[in-house]
Amino acid sequence: MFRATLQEPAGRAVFDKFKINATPTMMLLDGGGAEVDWSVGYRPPGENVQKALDRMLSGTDTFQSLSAIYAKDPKDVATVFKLARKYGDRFDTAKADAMYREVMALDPDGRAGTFTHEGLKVTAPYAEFAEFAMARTAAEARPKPDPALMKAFLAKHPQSRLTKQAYDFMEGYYGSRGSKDEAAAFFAEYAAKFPADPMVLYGWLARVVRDKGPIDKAMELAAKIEEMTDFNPSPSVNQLLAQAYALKGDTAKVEEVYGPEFMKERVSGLAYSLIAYANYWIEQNANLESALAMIETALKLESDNISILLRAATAYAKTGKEDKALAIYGHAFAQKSWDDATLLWQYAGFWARQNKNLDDALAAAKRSVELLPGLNFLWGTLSLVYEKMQNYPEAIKAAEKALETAPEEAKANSQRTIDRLKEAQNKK
Amino acid sequence: MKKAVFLTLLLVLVSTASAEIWFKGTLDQAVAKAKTEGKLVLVDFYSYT
Repeated sequence: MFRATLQEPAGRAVFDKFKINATPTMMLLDGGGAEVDWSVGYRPPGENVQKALDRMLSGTDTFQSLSAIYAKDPKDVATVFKLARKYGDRFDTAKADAMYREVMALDPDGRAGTFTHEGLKVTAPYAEFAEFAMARTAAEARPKPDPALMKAFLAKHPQSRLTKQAYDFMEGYYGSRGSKDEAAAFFAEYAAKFPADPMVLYGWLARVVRDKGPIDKAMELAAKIEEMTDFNPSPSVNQLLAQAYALKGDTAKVEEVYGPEFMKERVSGLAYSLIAYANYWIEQNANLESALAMIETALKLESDNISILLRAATAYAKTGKEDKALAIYGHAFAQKSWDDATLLWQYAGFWARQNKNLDDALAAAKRSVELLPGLNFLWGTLSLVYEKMQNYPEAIKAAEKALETAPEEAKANSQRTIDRLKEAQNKK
Repeated sequence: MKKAVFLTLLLVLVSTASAEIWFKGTLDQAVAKAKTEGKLVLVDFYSYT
């Protein structure tokens, strides 16, 4: 294995020799120093590196094997296309485009076969992909990107499955280039084509904010984006909205869409998501290390959020970590909540169901009925705690208080509880 | 032949490689050695971030 490091002179020479444009690149050379194949980039997890190596060693669709086929049959469209992609993988756009032009010359009607781009999840004829790839090269060229080929592609293939990607690339261009009028015309066309995509409007608004106007257009776009993303606002989107409203000098609106309250809600939402994630995987009995880590993160984000504490304690209890549950939802919590009947009721009920920390649960349950003696469900939880402690006389007394205070529709259930407790007491 | 080459090729992956596993010498020397041993050379193009 040989390492060529870009920052070292000897390594730089190897980079130059093979015209490497990106790192990491892995390349296999044969005993003659010829390129067998290459793999560019890294996508986690680490096992993907082994998979890339395996593909290079397989001999199938490697640069070397494709070149051999091409030498025998230069009219095979699939082979020419695959070679073009190989060059494209290492950003050798000149060679890639040359081969794509061959594809288009060999198969102008796009009948020779199709290619499926796994990343884009699109299947289209080789020739169409070739044209798209060349248009993309031109649209991303430095120092002078040119969207003309991509426009031509869209005009020629209005129903192409690559349409969205084509517009996305053009957005990259018109986001900062072209005149204001050209950009406005492009984004209007783009938005008309994809009216349900708020990110299309986002790109448009970003251009308007960059140009610092027109203000009325900024307000129109901002209002639409807000409406479309209201169910799940994104900080990055709302930051742009804030910039737009700032253009108008509407400081109140800036605070509303991107102020401290907005971010507090995002943090809280994230904490709930982390707990939901943890509980899901705990139920599956898998990814437990990750689940517990997410609980820790949620607690750091929202250490005073009682709902988060309760959900975290539930998750800890389900994984047998009662000590952690007690640490966040134990005696200190009960003491802090001593004047809140509802919180004490929740606390008592939780520990009764865990059949742990019963002395403290009992104190909390007693305090809750002391604070609000007219609520049947508080008495019901007191009864439950006594039942867990196998103190049936007190459990029955509390259950009878629950019956006494219960609304009509709940009395039958309360009676059943009393009957059950009496039966358990007799058996004891 | 590819399978034999695969079996004899060092498989320590880049992400876990330590300095000791890299060939000490020039690339030409590595290629020459690979030729005599019937192996391929894996070149890792790397840049400090």
